Amino acid sequence: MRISLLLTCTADLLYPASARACVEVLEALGVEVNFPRLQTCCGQPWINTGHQEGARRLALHFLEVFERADAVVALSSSCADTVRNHYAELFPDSPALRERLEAMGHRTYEFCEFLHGVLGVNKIAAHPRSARTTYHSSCRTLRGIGLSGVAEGYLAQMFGDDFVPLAESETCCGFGGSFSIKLPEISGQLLADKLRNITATGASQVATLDLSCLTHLAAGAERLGLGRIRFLHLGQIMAEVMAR
Amino acid sequence: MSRSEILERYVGIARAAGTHVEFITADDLPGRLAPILLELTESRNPAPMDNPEPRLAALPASGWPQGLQESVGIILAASGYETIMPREMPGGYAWDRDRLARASIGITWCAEFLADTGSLVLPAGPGMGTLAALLPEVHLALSYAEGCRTGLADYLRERGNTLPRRLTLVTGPSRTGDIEATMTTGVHGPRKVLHFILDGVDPETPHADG
Amino acid sequence: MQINDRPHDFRKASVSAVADKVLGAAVRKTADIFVSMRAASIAQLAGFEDLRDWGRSRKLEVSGRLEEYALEFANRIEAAGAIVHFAHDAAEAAAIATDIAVKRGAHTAVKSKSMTAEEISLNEALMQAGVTVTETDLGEYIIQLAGEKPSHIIAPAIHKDRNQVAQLFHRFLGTPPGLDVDSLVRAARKTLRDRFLAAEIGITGANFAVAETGTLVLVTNEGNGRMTTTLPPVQIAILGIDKIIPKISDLPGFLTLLTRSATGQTISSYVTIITGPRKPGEEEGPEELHVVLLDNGRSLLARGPFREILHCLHCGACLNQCPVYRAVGGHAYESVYTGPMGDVLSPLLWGMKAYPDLPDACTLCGRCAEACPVRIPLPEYHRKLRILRAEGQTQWAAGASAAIAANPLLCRTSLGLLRQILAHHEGLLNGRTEGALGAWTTCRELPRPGAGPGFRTWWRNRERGSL
Repeated sequence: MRISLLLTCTADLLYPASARACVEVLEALGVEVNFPRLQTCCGQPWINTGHQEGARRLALHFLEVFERADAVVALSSSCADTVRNHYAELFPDSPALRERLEAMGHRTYEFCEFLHGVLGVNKIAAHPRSARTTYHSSCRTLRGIGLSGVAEGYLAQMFGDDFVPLAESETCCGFGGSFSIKLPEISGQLLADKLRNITATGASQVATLDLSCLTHLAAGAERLGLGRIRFLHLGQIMAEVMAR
Repeated sequence: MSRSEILERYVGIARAAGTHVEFITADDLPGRLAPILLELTESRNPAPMDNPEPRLAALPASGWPQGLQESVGIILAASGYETIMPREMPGGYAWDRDRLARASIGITWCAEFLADTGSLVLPAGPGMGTLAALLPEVHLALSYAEGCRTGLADYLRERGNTLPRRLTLVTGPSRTGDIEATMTTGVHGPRKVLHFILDGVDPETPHADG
Repeated sequence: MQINDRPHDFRKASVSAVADKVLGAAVRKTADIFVSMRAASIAQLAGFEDLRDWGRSRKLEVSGRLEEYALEFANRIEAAGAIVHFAHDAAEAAAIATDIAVKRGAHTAVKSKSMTAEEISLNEALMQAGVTVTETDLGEYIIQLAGEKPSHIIAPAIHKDRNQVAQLFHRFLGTPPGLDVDSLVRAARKTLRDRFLAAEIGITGANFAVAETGTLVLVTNEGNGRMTTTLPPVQIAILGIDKIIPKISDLPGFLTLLTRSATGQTISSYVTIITGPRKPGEEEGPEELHVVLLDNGRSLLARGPFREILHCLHCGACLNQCPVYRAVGGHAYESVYTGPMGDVLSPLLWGMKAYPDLPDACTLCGRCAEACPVRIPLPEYHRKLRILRAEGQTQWAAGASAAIAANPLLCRTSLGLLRQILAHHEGLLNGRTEGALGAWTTCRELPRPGAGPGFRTWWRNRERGSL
């Protein structure tokens, strides 16, 4: 099976290791990975701040780059959610275009969702090194993609009792895109609450499927002197098991 | 659902909402009611809430089934209670409100009650005196088991989707959590609601024959 | 009413709210209780999801023909003996209610909780006309004594702890200091009982208004709804025309949606169902029942893209789940309507100029939509308001940045440059306190790019290596 990789701006800018790892996991599962070099940004920041014209521009470029792909696999939930759930409504007066965007959206998957739902991956071996691990669900993963329990299942298989679920996992980490800089005090409060729950698990690493949350959590952890905790995309942890 | 299943449902939900539901026969009524009346007159914890006339009971004037109001009146008198009711006058009924507000117990007939929500249906009407179920700190409702309906939807359907002009659904005591989310009863209405179902059997009590 | 004259600055209001740890703990404690009780209650009811769909469809029926339904309701309750008044806006509604009181020569009123009455600043208008209004919902009474506004749609005094209430009662009711909750409630009962018995006017809102039968429905737990609609000789019910439901057969379903979503109760302690004033000969109920039907922008909203906000049942479920509301409580919104539904309704009722920040008071986490009993698309409405606001401004920065981001070369170059700066030249960015950078660094370090080559370089090298 052949997929096109949606790198995401955040991975492009900050997390090359996560992206590499996800490619390695996909290839280890027999997937042929294509990387369309002309891809840019899915447009989420423009959509969420209400700048429709800019959003349309980015959606059209995205369509041009990815429309012919059999399947698109995104390395962050929020990007997959944007493409799948928020593109068609940008073009209320163009039914043909909406149809194409919706069709592309149906072929666009978040990484973990793809592994579980399309490739049918249920089993993963135990991780060679034990490490207390927890998982940040992320709002986009839970309510945009509709994915719950799958990543936790993989982590439980990899780490057994060393996987500790996070308390208040339904609660937002406080990033919210522009929210993080428009209302930084509330963002900081929610961040502190989330980090408190994380440290309560005793975890040395936090897995997530949303690179936006990851950026915010890691940066907040560093500010609070919690830099010893690793924040990483689930794919990175899976690669340590599957792609060696 | 069968009649007894509906009744069982009512009992479970009403008790969960804080109503004291009891099944008694008409013969038991004096034996069950007198101790309640006695308890109210003694200064116990919690102390009576309103400026009480401790031996004053409020009753509706109309809407009772045959003979029940008289039976209740006799038990009240035997327990040393005075009774206040809406007074029938030319042009209609009237309450002595100040006195009503000092009654320590309201005893009302409740023709219908709803299983799905554990609710008493209290329609208003001339002499029906629903304030007797609202102002005193203890409210005792009396019903027959056959008055149990599945729920509000059925109650409405039975009436052809019409309503009495004014009615209240009462479920348990008056309550609030407005101070520190601490649940307290008896805010404006009764702190205690009792429901005696005459001529029925308590579905939550295990029977002797299993 | 819009609470202040200047535009609402949510960030400013939120800063002190976030810093107030006592407030935050109180808000989250009560919100948590409501959330868990709602969850338990809903789990018990098979078919709740279908009921939500049903509720939405019935409300769509009303909002699709709002003025028609308002007229049907008005005619029916008028036929039952009520006096109906239509109020185009808040000022008119307040004036109508005040006129009624003045014509009766009334000076005392008791009031059962009504957000609509807050919306039209009814208490203030009546006070000015010489009518003393006593709030009778315990939480509303507490904040009335404190001179404050409600901070939660269901539990108005959620931000006050027992000690604060005890102090208020000691000061205003003369009760001993430091009373426990039970004693405080008893003290309130006694005082308010006297007001109920003496009041010339009872003012209520309505949770539902049934068009088919001309019926008002009040949902309370305390019994103040019953007292207010039974004891005073005159009742004024003030409600927005969005409270209407089509048929009496709709009532059971809507009661279920409301009470389970609000507090997790199967039903509230009291549901008061009124179709007209007392009949001659009856000993309870008002002689005169006035119904004030408020538009205040609702009929316009019903025809626009935010129509479903009119479906709101005022249950508070969205508030209880909202991370922003939970962090700051209701007062930071400086509006009658707070939390996710208030973010949307406040700018729509009072204008974007008055409430420019509320569409941003949202991380788009989506928990509100999950909880809403009638499936109002609240996150979508937040974004729609942001679109409206953006359309009102010059967009050159957004347009320019989109042009760059949509161009593969420019996008790669910009990201590459940013990556270099973050990795090696942090100093250029450090120490800024203004703008986006300043906001980011209030609670976070600058992001660190991962070590090693960027992904694109790695991919290119891999491709070349395999050739």
